[in-house]
Amino acid sequence: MSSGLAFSRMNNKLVFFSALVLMLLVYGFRQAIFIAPTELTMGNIQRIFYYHVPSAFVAFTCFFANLIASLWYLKSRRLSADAWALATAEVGVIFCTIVLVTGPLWARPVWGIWWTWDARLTSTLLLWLIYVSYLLLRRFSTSGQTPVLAAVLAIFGSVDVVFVYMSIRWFRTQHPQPVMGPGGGGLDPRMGYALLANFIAFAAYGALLVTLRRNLELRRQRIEERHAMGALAGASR
Amino acid sequence: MMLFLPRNLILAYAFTWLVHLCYLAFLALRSRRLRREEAELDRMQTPREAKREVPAQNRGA
Repeated sequence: MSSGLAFSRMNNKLVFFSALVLMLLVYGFRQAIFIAPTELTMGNIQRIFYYHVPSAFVAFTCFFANLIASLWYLKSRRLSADAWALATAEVGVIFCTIVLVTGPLWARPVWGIWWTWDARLTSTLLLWLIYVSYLLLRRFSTSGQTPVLAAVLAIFGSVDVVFVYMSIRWFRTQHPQPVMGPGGGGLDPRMGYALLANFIAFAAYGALLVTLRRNLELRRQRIEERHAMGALAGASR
Repeated sequence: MMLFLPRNLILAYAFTWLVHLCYLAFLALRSRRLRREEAELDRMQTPREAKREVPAQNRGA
């Protein structure tokens, strides 16, 4: 009874959070398309920036959270840590896919090419491939050690996250240097506000997806456990 | 305000939301499948537990 009540309370919280996320996303979209000023040299195509950069931020945050969850799993062997690891990797791959597609859609009219093998683009593609292989390993491996192998692979993958982030500082790349922070050219305040609105909206949306996916994985683990208990009970009779 | 939106901008935004909608649909389908599996397990385990309880009650009586 009390667990049912707690579940319904959690569901209510998730419904409320989903509604909040939807409002933030609509607000972010409005800021990006209608409120932010048009960039002088690139024109309206620059508005891809408001989806491309926050998606990259969420992907990196998910992969970082995946590293933490993987280390936690290796230390404690708790199934909940494994559920967090799977959820963050899957959502990270979704956002990384968006980065890899919106980037070339922006590059084509601005650079004149869809793709170039510079350090930032190549390492991002490599990052995507590492985490896709992580998900494939988890999906198709029949070994009982799969979560351990996946956690170790995640540690290697996280090294590439640092490389992707630093690549535009370490190498001369076609990909532009950061516009914010030290050494950046800066942003028009209205552009900065639109970017911030989308950062918050996408971060909240990413957190929602990770929570939903983790809840599903926990449920799957419980079902698997019940199957195993049922098989044991059947064998002992 | 009416904006002229380049084709690639529309494609980028549409792709983003298409991917997210597909992922949400995947989560919904998976949730439904797990719920069904849970219900199936409940149905399979409830009669077995009930059978086990009856003799115990009889013994007590």
